[in-house]
Amino acid sequence: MARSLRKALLVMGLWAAGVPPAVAQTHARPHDERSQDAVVTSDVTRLTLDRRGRVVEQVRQEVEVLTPVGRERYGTLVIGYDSFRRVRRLEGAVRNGSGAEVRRLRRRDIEDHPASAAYSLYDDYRVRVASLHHDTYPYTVVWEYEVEHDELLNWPTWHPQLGEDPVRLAVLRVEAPAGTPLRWLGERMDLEPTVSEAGGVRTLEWSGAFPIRRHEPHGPAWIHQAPRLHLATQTFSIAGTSGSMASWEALAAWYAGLSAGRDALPPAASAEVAALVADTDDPRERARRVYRLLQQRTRYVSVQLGLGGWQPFPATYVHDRRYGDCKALVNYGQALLAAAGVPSYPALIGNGLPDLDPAFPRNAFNHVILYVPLPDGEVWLESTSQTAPFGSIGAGNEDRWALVVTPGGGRLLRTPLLPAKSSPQFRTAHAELATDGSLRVSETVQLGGNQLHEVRGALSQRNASDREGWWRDRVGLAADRFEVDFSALDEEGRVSASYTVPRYAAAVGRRILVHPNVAERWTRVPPASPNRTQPVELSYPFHDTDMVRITLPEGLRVEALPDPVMVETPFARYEALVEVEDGVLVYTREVEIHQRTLPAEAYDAYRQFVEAVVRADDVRVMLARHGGG
Amino acid sequence: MKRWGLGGLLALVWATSALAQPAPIRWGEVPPDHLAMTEFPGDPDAQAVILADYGKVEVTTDADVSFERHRRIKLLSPGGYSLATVSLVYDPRNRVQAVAEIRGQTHIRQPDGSVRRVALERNSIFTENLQDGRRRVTFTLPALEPGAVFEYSYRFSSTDPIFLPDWYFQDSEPVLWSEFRVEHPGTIGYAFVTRSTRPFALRTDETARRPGLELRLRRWVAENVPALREEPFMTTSEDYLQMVKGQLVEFATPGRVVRVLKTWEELASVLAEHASFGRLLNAPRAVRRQAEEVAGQLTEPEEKARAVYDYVRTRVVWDGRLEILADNTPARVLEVRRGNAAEINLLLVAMLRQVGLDAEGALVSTRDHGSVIEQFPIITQFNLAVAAVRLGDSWVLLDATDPNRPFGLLPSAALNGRAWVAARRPQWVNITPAMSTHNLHLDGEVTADGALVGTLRSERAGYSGVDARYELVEYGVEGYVGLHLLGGAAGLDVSDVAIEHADYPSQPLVTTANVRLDGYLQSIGDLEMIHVKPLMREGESPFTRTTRTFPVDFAYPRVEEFSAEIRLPAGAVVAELPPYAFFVVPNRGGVYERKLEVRDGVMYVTVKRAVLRARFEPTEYGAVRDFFDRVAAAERDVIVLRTAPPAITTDP
Repeated sequence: MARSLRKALLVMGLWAAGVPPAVAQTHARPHDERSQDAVVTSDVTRLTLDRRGRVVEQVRQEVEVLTPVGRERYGTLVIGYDSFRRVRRLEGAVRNGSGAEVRRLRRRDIEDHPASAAYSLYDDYRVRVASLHHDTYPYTVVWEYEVEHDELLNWPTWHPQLGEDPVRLAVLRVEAPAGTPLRWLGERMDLEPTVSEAGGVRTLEWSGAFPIRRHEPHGPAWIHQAPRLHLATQTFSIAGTSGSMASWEALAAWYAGLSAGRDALPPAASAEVAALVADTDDPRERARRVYRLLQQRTRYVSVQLGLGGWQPFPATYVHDRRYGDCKALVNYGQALLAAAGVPSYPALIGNGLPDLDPAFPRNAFNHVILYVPLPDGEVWLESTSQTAPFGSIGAGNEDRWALVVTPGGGRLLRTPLLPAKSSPQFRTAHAELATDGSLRVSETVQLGGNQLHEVRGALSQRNASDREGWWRDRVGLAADRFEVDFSALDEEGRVSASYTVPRYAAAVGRRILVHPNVAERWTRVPPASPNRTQPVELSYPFHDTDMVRITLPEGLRVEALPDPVMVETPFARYEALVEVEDGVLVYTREVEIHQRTLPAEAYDAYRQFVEAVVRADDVRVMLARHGGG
Repeated sequence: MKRWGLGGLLALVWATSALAQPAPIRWGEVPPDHLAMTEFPGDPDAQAVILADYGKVEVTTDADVSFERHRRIKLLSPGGYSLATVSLVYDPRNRVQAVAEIRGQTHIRQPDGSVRRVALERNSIFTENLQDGRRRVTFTLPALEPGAVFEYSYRFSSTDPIFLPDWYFQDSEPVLWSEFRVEHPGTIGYAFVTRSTRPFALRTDETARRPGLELRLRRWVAENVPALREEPFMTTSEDYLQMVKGQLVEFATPGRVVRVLKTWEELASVLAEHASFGRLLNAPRAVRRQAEEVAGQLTEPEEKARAVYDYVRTRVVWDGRLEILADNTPARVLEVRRGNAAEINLLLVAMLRQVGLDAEGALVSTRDHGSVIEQFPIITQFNLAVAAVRLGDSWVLLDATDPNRPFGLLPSAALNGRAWVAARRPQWVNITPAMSTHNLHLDGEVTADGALVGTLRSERAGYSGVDARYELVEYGVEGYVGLHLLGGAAGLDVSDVAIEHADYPSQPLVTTANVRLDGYLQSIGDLEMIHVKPLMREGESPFTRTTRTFPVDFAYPRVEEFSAEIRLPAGAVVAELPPYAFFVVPNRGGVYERKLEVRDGVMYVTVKRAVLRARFEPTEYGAVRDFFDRVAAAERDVIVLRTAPPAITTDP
C-alpha cells in the first residue's frame, strides 16, 4: 500500500486536484465517532432446501435509519440474479418514528438491469434495484425478498452483518430434508446452531448480535472482515451436470470433466509451438516462451452464460478468435504448453477474495490461473494478462489456496507470495547540478516482479506520448527536456530517462539547499488510528534501491550533510545515506517492505516507519559557495 | 413522435438517386497497401488508423430514418483493440428504433502474402435489455493482432425523424477518410450545423427531382483528419472534434408546412407544454402545502428561495442521474424523496413558484457533455435541468441534488458556459463559478525539543467547502484533518478537533484543532532549519507535461490563504531567510504572494495562492506551468537558523 498510497497521494493535493466527481452520493454530517447512522434491528434469513436440490432464500430485514448517511446506505437494495437464480418476491416498506407505515415499495420503485462488470463483454448477471427513502429521522425501512436458487454449487453465503452498522439480531434458519448431509463453516464468528428435527425436516438455526464496526485507515475491505457462514452439501447438480463437494479432489474432478476434450489444437498451432521451442530442452525456458506467445496471441474477453461460467471454450475457439475468458485462456495456454512438452494444470482461485479454509470444500473461486510444475520448481501463470512477467500472478492471486485440477482429480496448493527481492526497482541516476539551481538527470530504472507487472500493465495500452506522460508523472517532477526510452521494458524490464528540473535546488541567502533524493520521495504519512482493531493492508512486498550521484557546479562545496538514516522493523527496512566522493554527492537509499498484511498492533509501528521515511526522504544537503567564508 | 401518415399519397419510397455516388468503401475490399501498412508516419502516437468511416442516412417520405454505417480500422498496436469492441444502445419500444444487419470481419495478412479472414459470428453478438426499456447490442471483432484490419457495419433504423445521428469526422486515432451522407425528401426539412477548424474535402448539397418527389442529397467528406486526444484539465474532447449534427426543422403535408423547430422561443413553448417538463410545474396540493410550510412567515424573496432550496436539498435523494426531463411528477418525487436531477430541480421550481417567486427550469450541458452551439435550438445539446429563480434583476441558478452544496452553487460538472432559462421569453444566463476559498491560520511556537506546537483554524467555502464535507465523511476526522487538510506531514499529531457547519453548506466548513509537529526543527550540520510553510504544502506541479493542445480548464477559480505566527526557540538567530515571493499568471490568471518576516523571535508568514480564472488558453500553458512550478519551489523554502552557540564559524 505504501507504494500505491504514495503515488496516489501525490496528485491528491487540495489545490490542484481539480474537480470532484460529478456523481457522488455520500452525505456529510457533523462528525462524531460515537454517532451511528443506522441500526439493523433484525435480519432474518431462511433457507429451505427441497428434495429436488433447490434452495429458496427468504430474507426479512428491518433497519432503523438515523441519518442521511444511513438513508443512503439502506435506501437501496440490490439483488443479483442470473440463469440459476430468480428473484421471486421483493417487498419493502417505510415506517416512521412512531411505527406507522408511511410507504410501501411499488413496482415502479424497482429497476432491473444488466450488472456486467466493466471487464465483461457479456454475461447473464442482472440486478434488481429497489429504492425506499424517507426524510425524517429516525425511521425504519423493512425489506423482504425471496430468491430461488436452482443449484447447490453456490449456496447463498450468510452475511449476518452486511455493513459496518450494528446488528441487534441476525438469524439464519436452514430447513432441509432430514438426512441431507449438510455442512457449514462459520468465519469470523463463533455462533453454534440449534438443531431440531420434525416431520422429516431438519432445522438448524443460528442467531447472534454484532456490534458496530468502523473503518480504519489501511484496514481490509469489509468483505475480508465480515462474519459469514458457508453452507454446503456433499453433491450438487448444475445445468445438467452433477458433481461432489465432499472433497476438494471431487470438486476438481467435476471441473476436469467439464473441460475434458477441449484441449485439441489445430495442427498449425502445434507446429508453431514446436518450432518456437525447438532449440531448447529446458522446460522452464520452453514454458517462458510459450507464455510469451500466449500473451502476444490473445486478449481477455469475458463472455459468461449459464454453465459458461464454468466450462471453458475449446482451445480451437481461442486460437481462431484470439480471445477468451480466464478459463478459456488457461485451457488454451495448457494446450500450447502441452505442445511444447510441458505439462500444466488449471488452478481454481478466489482472486482478491478472503482465503478459503482447506478443511471445508466448497466453491470458493472466481478465477482460474495456470499451475506449471517444473523440474526446478513450480511456476504459476496468469493467462489473462498480456503484461505479467513470467511467474508474476498479481497481488490478488498471491499467497492463497488454489485448487489445482489434474485429470480426474485435484488438490489444494498454495500460491507463492513473491518476496520483496523478487519485486525490485533499482534506480541508478547521474545528475548534474547547474549554477542556476537546475538539475540534469539521466537515470535507468530496472524493474522486476510485481513492480514490473504494474508498470507494464499501466503502459501497455498507451501510445507513445501517454507513455512518456505516465513516466513523467511517476517521476513526479516538473521537468523539461524529458526523454524516456521504453525499448528495453518488455524483454528486460528496464526504462531509461533523462530530464532537467529547473529550480531543483533552492538558494537561501548565500546557501543552497538540495534534495539528494531525486525521484523516489514518500510525502505523506497515514493518519493516526487510535484503538486499532483491524489488520493493516499493504500492497505487495517490494524492494527499492536508489543510487544517485550528483555532480556539483564549480565554486560550490558541501557545508552540511544529513545524518545517515536506518530504520529497521520486523516488516520493513529503510536506509539512506549521503556521502561526498571527490566532490560528488553520492546518495543511496533502500526501502524494503517484506510483508503485505500486518497485525492491528503494528499500525503505529507502520505509521512511524512511513513517517521516518517521509522525513528522511525530505533531507537536504546544504551547499555554500567557495570563498564565501 | 409518431408516424404522420404521409405514405397515403406515395408508396414507401427509399430515397435513392441517380446522382448518388458509389460508397467510398466496399465490404471486404481492403486495398493491399492498407493490409501491408505497419506504421503511420504522420502520427507516431497512432495505435490504430481509421481507414474509412462511412455513414449514410436515408429519410423516407414516410419519415422513417435509416442509418447505415461502415467502419474499417487498421490496428497498429494492442492499444487500438478497444476500437474493436462496439456497443450500440437503442430504444426498441413501440418499434421506434432497431439495430440490424450487423456484420464484421478481420483481415490478417499472412507471411506468404495471402489474407486470412475471420468473420464476426452471429452468436458472438450479444443483446441485452437495459433498465429503461432500451436495448444494448455488444460485439467485439475476432482475431485481432497488430497489423490486422477489421471492419464492421450495421443499420440503425428509427421511426422518429427528429434527430439524425451526430457524425464525428475526428477520433482519438487518425482518420483517412470520413464521409457522411444524408438523403431526405424535400417535404421534410432538416437543418445542419457543423463544427470544424479544418475544411471539408468535399461538401455538396444537391437536389434531385423525381416524379412526385424531390430529394435532397447532402454529403460531407473529411480526409486525413488528425487524431484528437484528451488531456488532463480539459472539459471534453468532443468540444473540439470536427462534426456535423442534424435536426428536423419542418415537414410538409398536403396543403401546409408544419414547422417542427425553428427558434429558442419555440423550443421554450414546446417545453412549457411538455408533460415531463413545463406541465409538471403546476404543482398539486401536496407540493403547494409543503412549499407554504417551508416558506412559513418568510417575506424576503431570497430567504424564501433559500428555505425552499434547503428543504429540497436535504430531503430528496438524488439517484445519480443527469436528466433534462422528469419521469415522475413533483408530487411523486416529494413522496418517494428520490429523483433524477430534472425531477429534483423541477420540484424545486414548482415549490419556488408556490411561494410567489419567479422560477423556471433551465438547461445546461455539463462539462463532459460538451459545449452548446447556441445557433442551434436543439434540446439534446443539454443533459441537465436545473432551476432558475429571479432574485432582484438576475436569475440565480440552483441545483438541489447535493446536500453538501450551498445555495447558488451549481455542480462543478455544470460549470460550462451558459445555462438556457426555458422561460416564455427564454434567456441565456452566464454560469459564473463562485470562488472556492480556503483559509488556514496557524498560531504556535517551536518547543525546546524542536516540535511545532500550536492551534490551527481552517475555513473552506465554495467548492472547497463542498469537497471538505465529502472528505470528512469519507475519511473520518483523522483522515480529513491529517491527510486532506494538513497534507499528511511527518510527525503530525492532531488533537481537540472541532468541526463547525458540517451540515450547513452555506457556511464555511470550519475546523479548529491543536497540532503538534514533531521534528519541525531539523538540524543540518551545525545549523537548523524550519519550513516556511509547515503544513499543507504544495506538492509538485500537476503540469508535468511540456506542451498543450487544448485549454486548461480548472472549472472554477480558487484562492488559498495561509498565515502563521510561530515563535522561534529562544536565542534562535536567523542565518538565512527566503525573500519575498511574488509570481503571477498574466491577465489576471493567477497570483502567488508570500510575505515573510521574523520580528522579536516570531516568524510571521502569509501566503496567498490563487488561480483567478477557470480557463487558460493553450498559448498560456507555458505561463501556467511555470507558475505552478515556481509555487511548488517556493513552498519548499526553509528558514535557516542558528540555535546553538556557534562553535567555529566560517561565515565572515
